[in-house]
Parts: sequence; structure tokens; C-alpha cells
Amino acid sequence: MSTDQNLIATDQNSEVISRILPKLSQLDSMLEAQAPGLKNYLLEINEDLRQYPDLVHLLTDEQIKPIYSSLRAITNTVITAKTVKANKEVKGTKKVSSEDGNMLANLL
Amino acid sequence: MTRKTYIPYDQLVSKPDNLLKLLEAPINPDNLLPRKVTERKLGYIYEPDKLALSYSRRQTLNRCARLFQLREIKQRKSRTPSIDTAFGSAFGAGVQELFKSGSVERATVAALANWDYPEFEDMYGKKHNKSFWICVESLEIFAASYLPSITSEYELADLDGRPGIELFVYIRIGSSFNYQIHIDLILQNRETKALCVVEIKTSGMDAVESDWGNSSQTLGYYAILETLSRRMGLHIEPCVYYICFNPTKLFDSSASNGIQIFPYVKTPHANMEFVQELMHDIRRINDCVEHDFFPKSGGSCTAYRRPCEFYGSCDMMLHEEAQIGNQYQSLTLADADFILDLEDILTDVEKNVLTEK
Repeated sequence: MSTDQNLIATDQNSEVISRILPKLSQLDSMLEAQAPGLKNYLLEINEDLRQYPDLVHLLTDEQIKPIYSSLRAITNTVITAKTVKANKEVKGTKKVSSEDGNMLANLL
Repeated sequence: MTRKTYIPYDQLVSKPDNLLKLLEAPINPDNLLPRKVTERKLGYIYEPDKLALSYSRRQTLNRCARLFQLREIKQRKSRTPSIDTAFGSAFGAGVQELFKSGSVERATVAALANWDYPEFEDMYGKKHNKSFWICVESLEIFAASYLPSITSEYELADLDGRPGIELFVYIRIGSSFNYQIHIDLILQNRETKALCVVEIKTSGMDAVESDWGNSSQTLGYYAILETLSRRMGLHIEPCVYYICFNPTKLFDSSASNGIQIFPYVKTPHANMEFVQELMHDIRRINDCVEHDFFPKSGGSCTAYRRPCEFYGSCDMMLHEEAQIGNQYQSLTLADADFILDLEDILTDVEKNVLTEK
């Protein structure tokens, strides 16, 4: 059921939260130290969230912050790399000169 | 000397041929400690004495009756992780969360919770536009550029205390069949208070209006929402909206960053059409069962340039026995947000006819 009525503070919920909180704190430290392995650690958190999807709403804004910040950090790196690559490809293309235009015209 | 590359554990599982290559591959610590397998939960209710129908199952039936028999009646399902479905689920969950909380942070976490793929990028290095990072960026852009205009007119609907997100509706059809549907989003017009269904789609190609105009999915959404809204004494908009997203156009602002919204206007006849189409498929299944003949549709053995999972083996006796038990955990009736009888929809059909007269 998709209602929020499932999200009551049960013992199981408390246990799940208490298990993930140290991981979030570890994630925060890894992000701050720009430690390697951030992506793999996020995959572990992905497994936890898939197993306990209610965590999306059980965790507070403050608690989800390290997940969001880590995902954003990697996304920014990937997107920047993609943009740089795309720009390089554009720069790498041969400039069209008037001569090229003539060549094209000759082909027609 | 040729350079050896290790094979990720997940590829080994999905591609048994790779097991042979493992003999030559250097040992990777990840292979020694495979990640724990998450218990998979089906998105539908499995009842051994009833045949569950849905939009996608009916699509399978109409694609190939033999495939329908193997997959749905004999329960010979196989599931390999797909980055396309992972991307669609994650983006959909993110958009749903944006309508719920408006928080892009929580929407990103919701997307992560629905990312069902062993890696964040395509393991085969092909589909660069469907990585999780692209999904994160897409949600950010959708939240900044498109959400405000939609939420200025619509808000997330509340149906008897249930938020209109991923609503799961179970429809009883006699004693042998049922129809199950998940509705991505139900929004409510802030001014008129009328409800409307929103479906979220992702594809690597631009959507066109005719993709969903005559779709039985669209009909089903409308028919079910009309029945539910009558129960609750609410109005509905005569429209089903599709939010389609093409991630290959994410950075193309001239193409609305790949976001297209299609409104499909429906008349009260939609209920009638939905019931007729459903009954037609049920008659077809009964006919196949009665004659113990589920014809193959040879023209449908290839989809997306890939052969069907049963191609070359669908006539083999090994498929004749039904799969014993169910390999996945099923939903139960208690998981359904609403339970309807097909008669409820038929009653609405009658009411619509009377109103017209």
C-alpha cells in the first residue's frame, strides 16, 4: 500500500534506521575526504534502500543529506566530463571555409 | 601479452557463457564476495487459482499467445537486470516524490531506492544516456524547469487518505481472472478539484502522440479512475496525461530537455471500450485453454533486435510442466489500495449511457 500509514515508528523501523545511520555518517566522511570507493559505497546504500524503501521517508532531511550530496558530487563530475568531451569533439571538427562551400557546390 | 580483464559478478550471473571466461580471468576480490541478493517482490498479486492480467500481460498475449502461455500460465519467467527498466523506475519514483514532497534531495534518494541494476552505469558500456547520474541530473532539471508550472495548477491527489502515487488497484473478474494496475500519479486540479491520471514514460527515442492515443493502458487508467472517483464523489478530468522523457535530449533546451507531455482526451465511452477489450482477451485465453492450443506468432519472435527468450525452445517438452511454486515474493490483497469488481466499471458504463440518453 502506498500510504504513509506504514511509516509509523515501529521497532523494526528503528532498527533499520539505527543500522543505516553509521553508514550515512561514513558516507559523509568519505565525501568530505574525497575518499576513493564512494561509488561502491553508494551501491551498498542502494541495496539497503531497495530492501527497505520506507527509509526514503523515515530518514530526516539532515540524514539524507550525505546520500544526496554524494550522488550530486559524482553526477557533477560525470556531467562535466561529458560536456568537456562534447566540446572537444566540436573543437576537433574541421572549420568550414568558403573553399569547402565551393567544393560542396561542385559536388552538387 | 594479452591483457586480461576481470568479469563483474553480475555479468557472470546474467551471462552463463562468461563462466567459461572466468577460468582465464584474474581473480577480482568482488567476485569472491558477491553482493547479497535482495529478496525480489513481485509488483502484483499471485493467486494459484486465478490468472492475473495487466496491461503488459495483455500486450504479451497480443504479441504471441505461446509466449503468454509460457510466461503467465506456466510461470516460466526469467528476469535479467536491465538498465532501461532501472532508469525508468528510478526516474518515475523521483518524479512521484517531487509531486509528494517537492524536495529534489528526497526525490534523488527515492530514485536511488528504485534503481534496480547492479551498477550505476550500463555494464556493457553502451547506454551512456541511461546511467543513474543522468537520472539525478534529469530530476534536477525537471524540478527546476517543469515542476513549478505543473504544480501551479495541480497538486498530488489524496484518495481516502492515500496519496495518489503508485496506486495499486485490483479488479476481480469472475472466479478465474483478475486485472491489476499500478497508476503512477493521480493529480488534482487546484481550482476544479477534478482528478486526472498521469503516466510517466522514459525512452531513448522521442515519443509521438500516437504511441499512447489508442493504448489500452490509457483506457484502463481512465475507466478505473472514473469508477474510483464516483465512489468518492469526485470529478475527473476527461484526460489522461503522459509525461514522456527522452534522456538523450536532456541537455537540449530547444527540445524541452527531452520532456514531452501528451494529454489524451477520453470520452465516457472509454469505460465501455476498456471492458470490451478486456473481455475479448479473456475469451481468447479461454479459447486457447479449451483447445489446448496457444499459437506462436512468428513475426513477434524478435523485439528490439533481440530474439524472444524462448526462441528455439518454445516447442520443447521441458516447458510443458508449470513452474512449481513462485520464485518471487508476491503482493497480497492487503497490499492493494483499492479492490473493485468488473461489475463496478460496468455499472458506470450503464450510468454513462443513461446520462447520454
